[in-house]
Amino acid sequence: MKQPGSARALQTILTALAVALLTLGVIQLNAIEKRVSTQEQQIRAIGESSERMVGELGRMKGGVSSAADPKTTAGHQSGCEIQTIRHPELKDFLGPRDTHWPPEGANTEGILTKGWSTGDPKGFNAFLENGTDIGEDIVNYTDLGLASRNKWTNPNTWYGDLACRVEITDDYKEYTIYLRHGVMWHVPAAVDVKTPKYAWLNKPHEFTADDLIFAFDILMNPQVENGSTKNYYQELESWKALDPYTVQIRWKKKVYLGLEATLAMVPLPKFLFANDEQGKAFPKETMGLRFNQHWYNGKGYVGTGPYRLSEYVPGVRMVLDRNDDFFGEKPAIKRIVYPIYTDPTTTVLKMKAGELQMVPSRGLSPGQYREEVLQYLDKPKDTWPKNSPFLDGTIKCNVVGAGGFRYIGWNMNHPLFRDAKVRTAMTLALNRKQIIAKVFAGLGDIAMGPFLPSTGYLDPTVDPLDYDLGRASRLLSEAGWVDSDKDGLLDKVIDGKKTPFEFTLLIYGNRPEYKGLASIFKEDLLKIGIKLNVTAPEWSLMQKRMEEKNFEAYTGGWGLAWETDPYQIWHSSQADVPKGSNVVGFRNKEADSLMERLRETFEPKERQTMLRRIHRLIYDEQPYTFFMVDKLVVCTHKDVQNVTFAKMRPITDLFPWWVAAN
Amino acid sequence: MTTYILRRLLIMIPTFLGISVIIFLVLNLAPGRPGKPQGDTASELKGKTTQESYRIFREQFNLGKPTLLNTYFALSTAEVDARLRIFAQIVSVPVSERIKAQDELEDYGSYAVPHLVEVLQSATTQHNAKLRDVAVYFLSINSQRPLVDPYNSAPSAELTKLNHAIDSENSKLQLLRYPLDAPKSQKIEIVSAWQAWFAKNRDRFSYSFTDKVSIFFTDTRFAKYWANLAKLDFGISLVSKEPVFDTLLRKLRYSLGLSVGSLILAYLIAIPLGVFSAVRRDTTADRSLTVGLFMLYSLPSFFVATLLLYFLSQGSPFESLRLFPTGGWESQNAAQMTWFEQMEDIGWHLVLPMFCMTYGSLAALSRYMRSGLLEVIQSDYIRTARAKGLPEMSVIGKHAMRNGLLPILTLLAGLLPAVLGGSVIIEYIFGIPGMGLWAVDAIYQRDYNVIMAIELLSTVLVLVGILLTDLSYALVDPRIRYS
Repeated sequence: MKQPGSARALQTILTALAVALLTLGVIQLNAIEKRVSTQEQQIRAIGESSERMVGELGRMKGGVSSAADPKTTAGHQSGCEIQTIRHPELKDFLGPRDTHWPPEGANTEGILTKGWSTGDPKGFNAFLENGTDIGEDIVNYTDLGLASRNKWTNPNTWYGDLACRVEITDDYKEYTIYLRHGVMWHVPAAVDVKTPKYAWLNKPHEFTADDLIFAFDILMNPQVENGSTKNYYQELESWKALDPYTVQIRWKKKVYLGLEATLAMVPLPKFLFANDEQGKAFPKETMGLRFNQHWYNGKGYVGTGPYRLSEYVPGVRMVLDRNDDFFGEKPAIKRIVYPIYTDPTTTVLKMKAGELQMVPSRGLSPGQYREEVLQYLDKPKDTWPKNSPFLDGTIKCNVVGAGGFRYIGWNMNHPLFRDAKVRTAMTLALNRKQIIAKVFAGLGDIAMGPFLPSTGYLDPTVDPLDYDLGRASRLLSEAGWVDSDKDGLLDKVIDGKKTPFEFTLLIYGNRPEYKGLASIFKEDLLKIGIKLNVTAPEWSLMQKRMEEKNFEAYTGGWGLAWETDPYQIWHSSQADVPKGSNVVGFRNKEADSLMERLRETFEPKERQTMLRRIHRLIYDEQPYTFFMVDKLVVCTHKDVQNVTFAKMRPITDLFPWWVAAN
Repeated sequence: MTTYILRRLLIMIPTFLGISVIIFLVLNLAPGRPGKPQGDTASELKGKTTQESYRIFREQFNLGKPTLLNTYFALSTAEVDARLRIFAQIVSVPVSERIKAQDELEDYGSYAVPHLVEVLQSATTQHNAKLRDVAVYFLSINSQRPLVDPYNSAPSAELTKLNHAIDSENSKLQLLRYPLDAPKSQKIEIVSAWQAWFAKNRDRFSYSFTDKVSIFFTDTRFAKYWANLAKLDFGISLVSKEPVFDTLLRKLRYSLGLSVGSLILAYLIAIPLGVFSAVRRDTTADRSLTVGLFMLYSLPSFFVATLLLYFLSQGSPFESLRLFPTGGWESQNAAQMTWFEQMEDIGWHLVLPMFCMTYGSLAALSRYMRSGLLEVIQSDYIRTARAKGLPEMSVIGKHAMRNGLLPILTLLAGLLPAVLGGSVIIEYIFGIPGMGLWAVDAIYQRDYNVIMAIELLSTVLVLVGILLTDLSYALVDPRIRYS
């Protein structure tokens, strides 16, 4: 039996302890906030410096292009003597390229070693669904589409790559594309073309309309595993070669994304993909299946671009060599080497050891960034550790926008989250500022909506919904959630049953940051009487639960392209498609009709007005708590020069960069 | 002895088959489906496999077929009808049921066609537009016939002709569907086209008794897998689409290098340590050695590996300790090296990972050695040897060791599958592209063909290992006889 006296003493001690801990907590929080604000200033400073660099780059490019008349320079004009212009009344859709390389004074013999921390790529065939992890690195450097956006200056304008001239009819249904003459496909690497077995590959192959038509054939082949790409081409009507260098593409309807889908189309080397390993052509009817499992898929990449994938040793490295036969301006970096490894935490070690001159495209993790750089920024320089290359200027880190956002999705069909007021209260209860600073090492901005902030498609007048537990509580009681039984948890009678406010958040287990987010969120929610449980299922199970709408809330993220079609994620029809992307079940009639009209609207001003309205409609409903816009930490060795960042993915496009001789 | 070995080998076959059935079942019953796991935000949008790709994918790898026995020929129209109603949302059910109904209907393949036509018929007469629309939709999918032997590199003229016919029919049937907002006349036209097509091809969907028996046993995932395996074809990876066997051979090189090396190292160190402990039994030296080894044993290798990398690799904060590379199998310029330099380079890369794989097993191995030797040392013949006045070196080294090595050598056979399996953690941290990492990735990605190949191989190795253990007993101990 316990003495009542000792029990009281224990109680007093515990209370004192609690008070002490609380005071400590408050003091710490203050300190953290102070640090957060200084860190924010520093991060902003870094961001501004990179913006400035982009600006400078733009000016420099301007100088270059005005000094030399683009028509007389070789490079991107070569091979563009068009025989017959079929529609002289239509003007060329393509404009000049704003950015030129190599920059003046650049070393054109430099070798860049860049990290590749995700193990072997899952195949090199970018046409297939499993080939998506090479898009930003390998495909971007080794291959060319018909045309590209001016991604450093104004991504709304296009210039020609493989296309010399593009004529588009006023109804945007017919595209006539004039292809460049004399462009050669790379010689396939990974197989020895000198041996008799592969002798059939050992001759020059010119890129012609045939390769483009073949790419469309494969794309639309029902047996080819590329459903997500095929989605963008549903309204495609026909594709045919008018002559070996002219192609006509017709669309059934006026579709805005058809513009991007047509111009960014990447041809396929027919001489390779239409044949088996002995050089024998596949029968037409088995082409699709054979393409899915083509013998060259895992071996290498054959493109027409400024670099050639010259070596791939599985598990060891990939090497890109500058293509000396390239028709256009050749980039300064002579060779890009990607050592393949699997543990991203060793990136820092490899940078320090000088084995890498640049981190992988995904940058450093928030933890690594905090450990190596951030924690020292607000301390006096003489306390910094000696000989850390991250601090002595050997390695420089830039923090740049990554072109994606993270969110918490609420199941709008679930009784708990049917009410927009409840979802808004959740956003108010998420201390985004603190979480970004503490958990994500300041590597993000608070997200305001589902589009890239730099596109101007976000309505700037929406309520920012800053962290405010009091306001969250008021909204919850307006929605009928009160603590009627005084057990500390809010409750409400739903369908005749008293339900306490308790829910489960699914987080993607591989990201330690999400656990930090969840624990801060959990504490704040408890303060307003809501119990949060967290589970971290493995991805295939998490995906299944999301498809089956068997969840209350989950954390997710979307990568953003320059032009997005909100239809796939937000249209109500996609909420009913099994396994559709509208996982949360967002339904809004006005937004639906806007999204349908948006698909046929080309006028930029009009698009902006419509997209801003769509943003407003989505934001008012809060189907997602928009959490943060990602930032990347891109670290490079000081030998790497002219480190500038593009305005759209891939942010770290290497073409203007160069590596000093050492 | 020979008959014994033969008998054991024969028994292995049914054991192997039994194990493989169990692995196959467990694998196919595990929740989740093949696919790439989500990496970061960038991949989510594009990495999402659409239903259509998933269907093509399932067809190519027979994932739509029943696992062990196929009873689809006995489908009833009512079953198909019920699922169509669920899919069409005529009956209201949670979306998970809809997904399930859709997957099942697609999995039924051509077996559902006559029932779909029947449903189409009755839906049309009853003016149930919703049901009719979904029936047409699924007809356009389920009527698709798979190509015959599409990967044949030298198809005969007959085969080509057949596939050509199948393909042209497929592409025609595929278009026999309509968007939901199509005009009524078009819908009616397509519905009657289906009825006409079925009337012509009715025979294709009636099965004789022998057909049914053969479908029951052979038109299944298991049978298809084994049909390929019998030709020593492990299939291709569901994720990277590369032949599993080629990848396996490639990975084996790294894993074998690492694990055989560390195994030899472990034995080379553990045996002298064990002998030392046995000879100096219960002295301070023996005790402190034991404590030391058990301390090593209890240090988790991922922790030690990270520490070693941090302090002893080229990225170390202390300049004098920058001794080893930060991971990998060889240097980036290995291709330009001579063979000898290359071996040296690989060895240099393997020092740290090999150490991490070795130190943990020292405790157990040296304990086995110690106890084995102790048992021998106490036996009569050792006393005799000592009594004869032989020098202690010769007693231990010549007489005791031979029998004392028995337990530790028989352990070796049991370690055979581990040699192949590699070490997941060490391979991950040091970036060595071996088997362990491959296997774990495959499990997360539900890459069935890869998992099956690895599991079957280690099954064989376990079985062979057990046999070798038994045989090695007989070899070293003449008292054991198998007959």
